[in-house]
Amino acid sequence: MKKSKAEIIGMIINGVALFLIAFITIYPFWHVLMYSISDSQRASAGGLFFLPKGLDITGYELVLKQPQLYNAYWNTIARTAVGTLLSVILTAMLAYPLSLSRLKGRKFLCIAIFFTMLFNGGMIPTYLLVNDLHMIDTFWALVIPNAMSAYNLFIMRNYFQSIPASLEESARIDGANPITVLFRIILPISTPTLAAVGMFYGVSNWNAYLDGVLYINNNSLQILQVYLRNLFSSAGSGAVLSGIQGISDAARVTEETLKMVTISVSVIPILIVYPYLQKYYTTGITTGAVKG
Amino acid sequence: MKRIQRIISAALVAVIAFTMSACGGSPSENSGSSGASAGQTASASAAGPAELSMLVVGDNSPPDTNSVLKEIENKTNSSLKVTYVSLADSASKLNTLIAAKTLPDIFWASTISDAEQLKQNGMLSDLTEYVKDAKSIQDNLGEVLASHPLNKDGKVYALFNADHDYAQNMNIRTDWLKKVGKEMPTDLDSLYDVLYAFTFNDPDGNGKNDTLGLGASIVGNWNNFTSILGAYGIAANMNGLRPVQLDDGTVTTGLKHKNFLDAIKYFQKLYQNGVMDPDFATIPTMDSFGKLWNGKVGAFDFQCPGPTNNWMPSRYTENPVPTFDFAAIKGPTGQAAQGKIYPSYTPSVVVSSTCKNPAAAVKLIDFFLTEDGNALLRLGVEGKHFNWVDKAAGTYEMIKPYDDSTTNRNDGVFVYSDFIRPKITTERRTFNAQTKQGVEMADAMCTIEWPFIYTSFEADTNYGANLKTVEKEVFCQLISTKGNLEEEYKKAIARWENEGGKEWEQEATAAYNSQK
Repeated sequence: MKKSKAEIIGMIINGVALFLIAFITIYPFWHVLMYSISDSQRASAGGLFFLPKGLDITGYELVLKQPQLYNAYWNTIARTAVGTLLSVILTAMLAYPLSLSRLKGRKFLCIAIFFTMLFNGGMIPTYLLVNDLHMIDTFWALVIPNAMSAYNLFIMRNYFQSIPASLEESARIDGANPITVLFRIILPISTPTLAAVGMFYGVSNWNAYLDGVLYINNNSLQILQVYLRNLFSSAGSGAVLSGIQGISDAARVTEETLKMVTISVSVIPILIVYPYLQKYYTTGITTGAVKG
Repeated sequence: MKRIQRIISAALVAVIAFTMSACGGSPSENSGSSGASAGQTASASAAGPAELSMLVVGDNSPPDTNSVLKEIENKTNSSLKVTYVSLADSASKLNTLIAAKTLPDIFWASTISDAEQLKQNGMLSDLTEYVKDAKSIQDNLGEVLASHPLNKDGKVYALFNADHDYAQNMNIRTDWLKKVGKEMPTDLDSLYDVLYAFTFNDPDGNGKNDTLGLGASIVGNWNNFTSILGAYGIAANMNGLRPVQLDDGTVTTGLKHKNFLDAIKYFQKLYQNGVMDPDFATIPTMDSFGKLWNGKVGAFDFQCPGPTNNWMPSRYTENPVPTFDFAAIKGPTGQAAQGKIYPSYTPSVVVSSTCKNPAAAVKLIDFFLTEDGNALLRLGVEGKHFNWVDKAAGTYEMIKPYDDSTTNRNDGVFVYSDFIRPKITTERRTFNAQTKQGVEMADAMCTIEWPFIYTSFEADTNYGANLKTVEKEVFCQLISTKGNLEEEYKKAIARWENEGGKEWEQEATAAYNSQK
């Protein structure tokens, strides 16, 4: 069917608008990447970076040759994998009963959980708890204290509430107990929300910084974000002001380049995962968000 | 219904139980905790090494097996458990360790008020008996040890850096001076002539108008303006990184100095005639360094160990690399001057009261203050990381692969060198001859008296950060204005006073007087 002139103009406007939005979204990442592989001195002159200004990967050499980087990477991957899995399971196990209207005290429980979104114990009481549980300097200090997010819990609960009650009832008639209903009936049809919540937990675990600073003293357990931050600072202004003569060091790499490299090294893995989960993301969030 | 509730409850209990068991870990696994765990378990065995824990504030976190740490342990017969934390996170980290009563044996108290609180709460060890026989501590700090606010009652609770920060030098490119046919400037007029020639006489010889006289940035602090303000008798970049003065018994901002407006007029001349960096108000510190490294500016007011030593030659992109010398700029006061240098009480190095072996802790600190100890912390293990070429002259060479900062810091080199510093650090010993001369020259210029306040006061907590910003904004505004300077100056001072300056003056004066 032939499109009208108004439709064509509308399509062009849409196209231009969408292109601009996409550009605004993508360009910061592109800028960071191009800056990180540019010649440090030329890049420090500033400007837009559609292409690198003189190819130089010294910054990556500097960062990637650190043996501790890979240990930090491993720790972060492990905490992200274990932490996300544990968080999703725990969240689903609490969200499911809270989604059942027959649960007595449901309202009170929801308010109590919501309260934690507004107020929390604060850094020092949390630290004391983690310390008293003998979790300091253990892998679990990175996973357990933030295992449950009230926000994600409500998203999942709302999604579970949107599932027809008849599904659960028919499963119960067939003899399924609540655990079976949750794991065999509810969760398999909740993949959009599981993926969305899982991504929230995953990104949060990947980006976490402060727990690594507070709870981890042993370098072999240190996480990527803390490690990269230290690396960035140690080769940045501090080193510039108090370097050692004759050291070839990060001399050719400016602080800004190193910043771009550390951002790239830190962000690229999560960017690779994101597109695979993206299709679930919108469905999961919108379905979970509309129900009260 | 009830059955379901029971099952769900049981499931939740099981999850909680799993969570608890998973995170449990045996207490012995926590031996790496930075807290006093090491200290608590330490026994001051006469034969074995003394176990000590340290909290090191900095941006490096080498493996626990690094060579420098092992060498320190060998030299001091200790077994060290070091926790590393960045400066930005150090306060949070220390607060949590204090709350959990797991303080490390040796650590920094960043401010005097922090140190005083720790002392008042009985969290610090009295080191008086131990420091008496600590030769390096006595050699380096003996005369000033009692002047530290924590030590004023005759007992020693805090140790501190014996050296002081570098004063500023007006670094002038001598290769450019030669090209434009000028002599080293000695006063404000000749400085202007040189800066003008650097800007408009093509000192880099590329035929382009792409150079500037004076590079500068106010974004970080007042370092780059020290020499010119000093020529007007204004101490620009003192503790708290602000211009301050004592005016008829009142501690106040350097903006109110009787010569401040004259100094502004000079900077206006530089700015409005295009001989200083027009981006000085916004350019980040590192980018302003970049202009020096890339051969875009010919004069830079900054501590000379940067331009003539630490950045030489690797930071510079020109071939051949630039050459520098230092100008002493005299102004209306007839002197080339800058703010006087006072002892640096912060960070205070303290030993926690939970430390089981304070004698060993003091022995360790004492070693850090020795010449060899400081060389170890700064340059690494002799024969492994570096070799002296001429130790007396302070020349050395790094051994491959430790000539690369990433590799050497990963093995502990440089990482601990700022924990506590002796009077004459290895860095100073190993400067090249020109830098040594520059540092001495700058030190000699530190003659302007200014009110050194080391105690904290409420108005500084409430308004200090904002006043610091106001002072910088006023400075930039006055330099760049084309309006009535006197009028704008009056308004700026009124703004400073209205935004907490009045209270700050009163409390700063009271704090200063209380220190006497």
